Amino acid sequence: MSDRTGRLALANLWVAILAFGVASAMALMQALSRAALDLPWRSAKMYYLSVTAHGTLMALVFTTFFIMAFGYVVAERTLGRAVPHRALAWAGYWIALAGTLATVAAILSGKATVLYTFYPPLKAHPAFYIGATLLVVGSWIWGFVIIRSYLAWKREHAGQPAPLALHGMLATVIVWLIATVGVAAEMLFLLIPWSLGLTKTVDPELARMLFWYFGHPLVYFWLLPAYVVWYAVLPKVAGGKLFSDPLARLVFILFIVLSTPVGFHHQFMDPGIPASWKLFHAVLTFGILFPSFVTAFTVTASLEVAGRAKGATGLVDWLKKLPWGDPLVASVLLSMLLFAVGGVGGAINAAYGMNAVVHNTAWIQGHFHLTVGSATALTFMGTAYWLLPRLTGRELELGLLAKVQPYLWFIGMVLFSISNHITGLMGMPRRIYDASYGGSAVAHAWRGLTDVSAVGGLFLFTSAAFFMLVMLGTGLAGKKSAPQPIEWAEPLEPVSPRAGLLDRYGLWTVVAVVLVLIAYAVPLWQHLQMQRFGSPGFTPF
Amino acid sequence: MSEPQSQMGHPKGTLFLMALYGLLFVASWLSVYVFVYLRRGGVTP
Repeated sequence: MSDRTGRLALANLWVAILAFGVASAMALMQALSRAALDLPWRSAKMYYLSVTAHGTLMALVFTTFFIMAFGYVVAERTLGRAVPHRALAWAGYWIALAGTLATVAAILSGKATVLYTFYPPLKAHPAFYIGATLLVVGSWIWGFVIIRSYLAWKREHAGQPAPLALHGMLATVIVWLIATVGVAAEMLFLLIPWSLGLTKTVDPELARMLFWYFGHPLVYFWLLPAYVVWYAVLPKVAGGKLFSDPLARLVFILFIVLSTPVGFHHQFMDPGIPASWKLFHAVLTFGILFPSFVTAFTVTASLEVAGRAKGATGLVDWLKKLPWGDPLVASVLLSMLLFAVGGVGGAINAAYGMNAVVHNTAWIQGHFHLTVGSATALTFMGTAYWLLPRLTGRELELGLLAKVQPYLWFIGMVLFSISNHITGLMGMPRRIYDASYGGSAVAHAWRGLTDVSAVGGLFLFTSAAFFMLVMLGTGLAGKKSAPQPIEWAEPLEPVSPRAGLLDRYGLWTVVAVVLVLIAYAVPLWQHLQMQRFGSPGFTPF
Repeated sequence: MSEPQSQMGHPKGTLFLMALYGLLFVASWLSVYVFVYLRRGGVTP
């Protein structure tokens, strides 16, 4: 890793880690608040402020900066050439950081309590919207640099397929560029002018359509870099090989095509969107389960290769041969287990009728903590244990905490998430400050489970604290050591030296855009033709 | 360690685990459909 790109990656990684630390502290407060404990400073205002800060810092800041850091590492180390446009890449970093600071300042000062979905007519200070927009602009610059890295390499390696890890990262960039068109339109045409007082009212339904055009592929922006780790790093660290390179390439291409035209499954309960279009998005949503099933197969088969290479001969005894004590391996394996449960919940959310049962209930927070909170966050934490020593040239400090941390996260997430799934089915709403509902009989039934959820929150907070201690200990006081190599998993079978259909990124981007136009153009046009009623802004606190 | 796929044969353990997961996936989905959704009365006729 060149020093200059290493510094760029490290700068992004540290923002991600610090954002994670702050967001984790916010989460503890929420978990205890749900258990109705008599905490100092506990109030509705503080609760919703912390929910906003937790969601924004975890879902938007931690993930984006981590992915940018990992993307630079992947680009340089797979292509074997320095990342180009470093000045521009640094400009992107500072723009994203300035935007993050503006957004966080607005939230922590109590002027942007709009939750991470920032649905209008809840209204935030302009700094929140402008800051979030700058974060996205910074990430666009990152995406531009990654694409330019690939194109520069491609000129010298005409006709060759990109290394798999970069293939996955290019898919991430393409998904992100298509997806962020929606949130950019929402910010620039609706929310920023409205927050600045240039327009009096806002169309909440149009804002929600644009948000979820962005909001669901956002999930894949989080998930695809995690899949890069699962495919391109995990088999190597586990002592095996990637079972199938072509299957992995197919998965990333399917995500380019299917990630975006599915947003209406978040809006099944919204008026103003024809049922036929909701059904179309529902069908595509079930389609996007397929690449994740393929991923489950390919990654598990790669682990079986690793276990059998160590002498396993039985049906599943190879599982015991895997290095469960390695922080990266444990993190990814446990995140996959949790994600497998989350997949079932996702298929229930995506079902048009069944969605009504779980809509806006605690089930939803239980679900997305298994996906982004586990598949993504736990994978990213495991990756940080692997990446930070390689970027800093320091040994991992507090190694015992790093070994224990993924297991604490797993236990905490099982307690937190399963209890929230159950209370959700019992009717407990999400995003409520007082789970007792003033002592109602219905709310009394879920009381014990909210305590289980709070215990899960304690485990998760302890795990997050361990992670922060390891990161800070390694970054500030880790012993200097010889640089460790960044190595990628080799495929079991040789990869074709010629680029194929799955390596034609331009073609698949066009296919994705056409599918997006089919899924969104007509319902958006229909919406704009309706008589629409704008809403003034509301600031509850 | 470096045996190619053809020598390793089918990943039988993985196929077993995938089949098990598939069964659990379908059973879980159907149990929510039958015991929660239908029991409460579906929102569609």
